[in-house]
Amino acid sequence: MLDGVTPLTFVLELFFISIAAGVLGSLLGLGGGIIVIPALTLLFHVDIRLAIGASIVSVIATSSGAAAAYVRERITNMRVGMFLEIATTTGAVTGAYIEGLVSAKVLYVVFAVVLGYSALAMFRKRSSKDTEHVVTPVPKDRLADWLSLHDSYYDEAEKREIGYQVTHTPLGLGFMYIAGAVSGLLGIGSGALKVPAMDLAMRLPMKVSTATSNFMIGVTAAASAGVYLFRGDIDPLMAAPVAAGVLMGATGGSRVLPRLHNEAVRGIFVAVLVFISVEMLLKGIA
Amino acid sequence: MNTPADTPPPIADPPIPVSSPLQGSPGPGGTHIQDPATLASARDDERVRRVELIISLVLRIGVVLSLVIVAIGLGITFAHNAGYTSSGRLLHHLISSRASFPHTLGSVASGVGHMNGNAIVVFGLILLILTPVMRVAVSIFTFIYQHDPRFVVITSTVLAVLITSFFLGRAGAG
Repeated sequence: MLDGVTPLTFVLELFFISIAAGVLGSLLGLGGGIIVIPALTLLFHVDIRLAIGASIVSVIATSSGAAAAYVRERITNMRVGMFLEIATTTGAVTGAYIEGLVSAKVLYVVFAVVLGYSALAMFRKRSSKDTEHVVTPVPKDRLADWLSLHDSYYDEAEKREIGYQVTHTPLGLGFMYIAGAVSGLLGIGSGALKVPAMDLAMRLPMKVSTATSNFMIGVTAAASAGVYLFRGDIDPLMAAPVAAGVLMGATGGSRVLPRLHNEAVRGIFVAVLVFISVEMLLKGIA
Repeated sequence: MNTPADTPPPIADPPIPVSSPLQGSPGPGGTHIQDPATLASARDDERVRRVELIISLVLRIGVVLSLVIVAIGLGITFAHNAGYTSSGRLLHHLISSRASFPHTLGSVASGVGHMNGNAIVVFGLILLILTPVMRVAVSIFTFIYQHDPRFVVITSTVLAVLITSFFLGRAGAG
């Protein structure tokens, strides 16, 4: 399939497919990395390690861009984010280190599982009714008190300041280590794992969880990107178009297009992602 | 920040200590028109806001600057390698072989000095990777400035993990 493709056309094709991945990722509320890696490996037959290296760079670009906006809008809980980064960065280093030890087949299988899970988790979240802002009392958490993690944010939709208490900080820390390890292992942001840890376990409001997850993803990705770079897994000719493309697609997509709320369309996308995940699985066990 | 959830502000809102209450943060000299506690917390809010804006700025500048450098490097790569735009036989070599591109600090530095396109791209990518690291470094100073020793320790730990990760990668490459 790659016969006769010059490096220039290859770079351009990667650029356009990465823009598409970024747009799709922002439409679905998933990151671009989780979509660009199957594109690189299944369509372009790129070595999965180089695909992961290119993706992790795109994750830093997208997350830093998005985090800048969220921080300005004061939705991010920076104290929670910075505290949990201890766990996500340690996890990311662990994941990137393991990536160097396991075979490519294992990476395909783990990727398939995480992609399938993320697609379904995203679908389920949408299907359930939005019951936000019902402030329920949370169990007392002395660590959260000690670190003054409780905060409030201004909700655009409700036009008022919403206060919240943080709880189960140690549990959140544990989940974040795992999320960081998955991020480092597969070169993705793994927001699908970070958001539930804050939303369900630590009881942060959904919007705060999403913004704070984005805030942490860049630092988490930086911890594993350093490992990949010096290991020689970040190919400039691939990482450049992928990083620029995903960033442009994601920012452009989030500005121009609203999140998809149409159940039927979302269902189709989820089906496609599950199909891709099966393809990745087959590549892993073949 | 730090307002207790959904309770109206208590009569004497305690200035939630970003600085230690024992050391008695020096009240603003002179004006006694306003309740000093409210004034102090308003000042803290102002500080926090400034921190948030600085962090936001660091992230944006880092991303834009590094991508501009990456684009320049990519342009130079294609300008210097005529075969890259015409021959289809080079590609296989480019996407499957590893370490045919600069990926050590030394080779990147000397490559940038010689205007090597790939080295400039990698230099831009290193800047991109360092952008969130810079954000962490900046926040250490802001927490020092806010007299928040717990978060100084926390952010320093994160920075230490990030710095360690760079050395781990180099060890693995050797």
